[in-house]
Amino acid sequence: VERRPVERVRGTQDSWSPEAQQLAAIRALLEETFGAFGYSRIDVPVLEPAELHLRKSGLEIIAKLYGFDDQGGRRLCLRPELTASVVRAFIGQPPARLPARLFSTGPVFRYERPSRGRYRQFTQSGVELIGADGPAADAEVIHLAMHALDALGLAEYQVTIGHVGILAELLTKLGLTGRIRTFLVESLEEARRRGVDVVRSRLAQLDPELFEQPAGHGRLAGRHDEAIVREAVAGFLAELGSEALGRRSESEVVERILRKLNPSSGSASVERALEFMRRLAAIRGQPAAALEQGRRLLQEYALAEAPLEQLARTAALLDEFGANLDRVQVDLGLGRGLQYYTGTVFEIDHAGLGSESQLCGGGRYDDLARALGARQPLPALGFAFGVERVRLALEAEGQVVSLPPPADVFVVAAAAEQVGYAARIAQALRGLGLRVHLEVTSRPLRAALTFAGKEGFARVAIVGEAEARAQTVRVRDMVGGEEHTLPLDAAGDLRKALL
Amino acid sequence: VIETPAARPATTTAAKAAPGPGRAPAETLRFGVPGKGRIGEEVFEFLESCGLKVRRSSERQLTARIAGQPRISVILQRSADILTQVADGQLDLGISNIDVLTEHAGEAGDLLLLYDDLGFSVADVMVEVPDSWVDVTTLADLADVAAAMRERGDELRVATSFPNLTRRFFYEHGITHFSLVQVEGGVEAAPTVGFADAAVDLVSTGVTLKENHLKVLRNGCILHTQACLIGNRRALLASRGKREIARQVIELIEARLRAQSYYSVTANLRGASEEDVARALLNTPATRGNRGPTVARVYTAAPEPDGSHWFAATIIVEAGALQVAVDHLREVGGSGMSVVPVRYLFDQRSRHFETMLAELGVQ
Repeated sequence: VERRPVERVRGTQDSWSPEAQQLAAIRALLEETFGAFGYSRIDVPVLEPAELHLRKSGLEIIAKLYGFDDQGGRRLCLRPELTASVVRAFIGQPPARLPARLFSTGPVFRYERPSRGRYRQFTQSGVELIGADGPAADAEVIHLAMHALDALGLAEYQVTIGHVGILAELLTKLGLTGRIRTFLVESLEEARRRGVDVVRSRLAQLDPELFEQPAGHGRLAGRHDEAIVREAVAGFLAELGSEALGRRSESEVVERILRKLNPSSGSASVERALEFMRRLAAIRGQPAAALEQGRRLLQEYALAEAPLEQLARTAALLDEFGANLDRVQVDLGLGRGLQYYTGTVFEIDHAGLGSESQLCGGGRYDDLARALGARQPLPALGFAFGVERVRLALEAEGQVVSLPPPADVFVVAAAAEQVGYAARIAQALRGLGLRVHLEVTSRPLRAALTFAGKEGFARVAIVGEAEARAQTVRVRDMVGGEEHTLPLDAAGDLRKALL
Repeated sequence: VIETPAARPATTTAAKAAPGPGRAPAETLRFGVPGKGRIGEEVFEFLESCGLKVRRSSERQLTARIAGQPRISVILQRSADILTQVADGQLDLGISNIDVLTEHAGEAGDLLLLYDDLGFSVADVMVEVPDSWVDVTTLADLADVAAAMRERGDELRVATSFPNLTRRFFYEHGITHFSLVQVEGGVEAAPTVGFADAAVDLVSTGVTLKENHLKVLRNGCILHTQACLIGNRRALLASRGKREIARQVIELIEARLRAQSYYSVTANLRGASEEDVARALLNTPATRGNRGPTVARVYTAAPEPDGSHWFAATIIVEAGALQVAVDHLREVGGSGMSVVPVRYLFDQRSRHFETMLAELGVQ
């Protein structure tokens, strides 16, 4: 017989009261705020096809996916976040009118290295505003996130706003291909945190040939060279036999060889992109000053200033909506590490949380619906709070929600025969709005009273044979020890005596 | 340092643990040894060289004993099964492979990695593609091929017996759309036969690779692997007796592996006294040995005319410094130098055993 205790899965936690009650209270308060902004609840499954996240979530999420094959051979995952699921649900059953305002709360799973404030299962609570474009939508969503924290009484949080569209435009202009482009956009956050050299060496590790080709070297001179390459490859493949390529075609291989020999996205473009990322990541501060710095950089690179104008407009609107702009800074290096963001992105941090300081993350993801199979592009944005971190932040500020003890009154029968009467007393007291713990074990009265004292009950209702006969209750004060007997029908007195 | 060249070490036995009349029989340590599969004979040669000769009554026998170690019961299993059984506690100690460990265990609670480099069964887990794919040399190229297949509604199929390692590695390198064809043996034949496009498998010599018309990607090495020693945390924590047997096994392995890079050199030297000879040798780092020379008087048949004596000096030198040491011995008058490999080299403490105790949190 296996007797060793079954242990909790690493990186998960059991949360006991009062923490569990605090978490529930935080969830309720967040959802109340979402409701006040016109959002309605949507519940989505914890289990999703892995494909949902493989399409557009990016490596940050994919590498940490809890994935497995189910009994039917389908590749499933435990959801690592809520947005993709909500958008999937939306596409499957689009509401008749837009925009849709949806909020969702629930556990999400990531195969992380566990540490304080970072768990493999944690709770997200957030909103999605689907079908709304423009700075007013951005501003309202950010304002909502800030307002939700204000409503919880959190005092010391900091909002950081950025825009991933700036880098995306430069990469398009440099003519960088899909894979490298995706990699660089996803790496903006890493460039900000750890510097572009880290990004460069990671790229070199993925694609060692990228930085090896000096510009111009190996380039084909023209159609003549191309014909020679085609012929050489065809000859080599003919020698190996028609089966050798497997399911790939000869033309596919030849075209790739030619593309590799004629790199449109050589190391020079990548270096330019990395240099731009380095400078972009250095711009952060008060909105007005940071945006001005950003404008100068964009002018230098002859890039459209539209993203900065959007950010400026969003910041101005936030001010008009009544958000405290002292809490807001612009950081053009903010990248969020997620692939699906297309425009404005933001994070909320709390200094009291140490290294895992992020409470909330969000942004605009106008391409996600298309990537998940929608016919039309669908402008959308949203955010999610990490509920456990919000609790830690409140705790760090000494703002922990105060909670009532588990029950108000302890009811105990003096002997086994009076248990039925004790239960009726308990029920009557519950009817008076009290929370009642009825003693149901067979331990002696003394032991039960000791238990009640240690559990912190201030009053105990004792019923024995005499009380049952007289339809009364004996109330004992656990501090002073005095007792008095009250009739069961004197509800008001009873309530007063017991509280 | 106790330097014991060319001698079988005397294994210390815990006096307390010896079974006597009227006592409960001492605990037996269940030791998993990969009796078949790719590790094959290598493991028996290795254990024998460590002074742990495995004795089987027949090739097909699934249990065995170790000569001179009555309290070790050897269970012969596949490397992967040893891993699960050590993790589950059916075995106390076992030899497995780093690749198996990384693939299956990850962070399995009760598994303790006691020795991660036993120095045999060395290979790399590599990404392999048909050598006809002349356009594919890096993972970036493979990512493009996977994307192209996906464009036409297909999926890159990868044959492997390492699904977890492969998936994690591919995800980390931006290859997100592929399917895994899980096979236990003959992974490398899969692309040729046509039920996979590429493969992830162990590569040691590269011969199988060539035979199957495959090549490795230049940045496609997922893991360097070799044989390793593992233990069950709970079992070793619960039983002092098992810890003591584990200590003997670990110490023998450690002494053997450390000894591999050392030679014992003995030279005859003439000098006025032991101190005189020692001084000449201590003069140069090359002949200082690990701690210093052992010098002993050699009694010759006839006394030397100048009144000097002959001495035999023994030092332990690292393999790389052997020639320098011999040269210096000559310079100071050394002759008749004999060099023998050191079979075991025990230090005052066993580093790996102490690490184990630290991990278990016991003294």
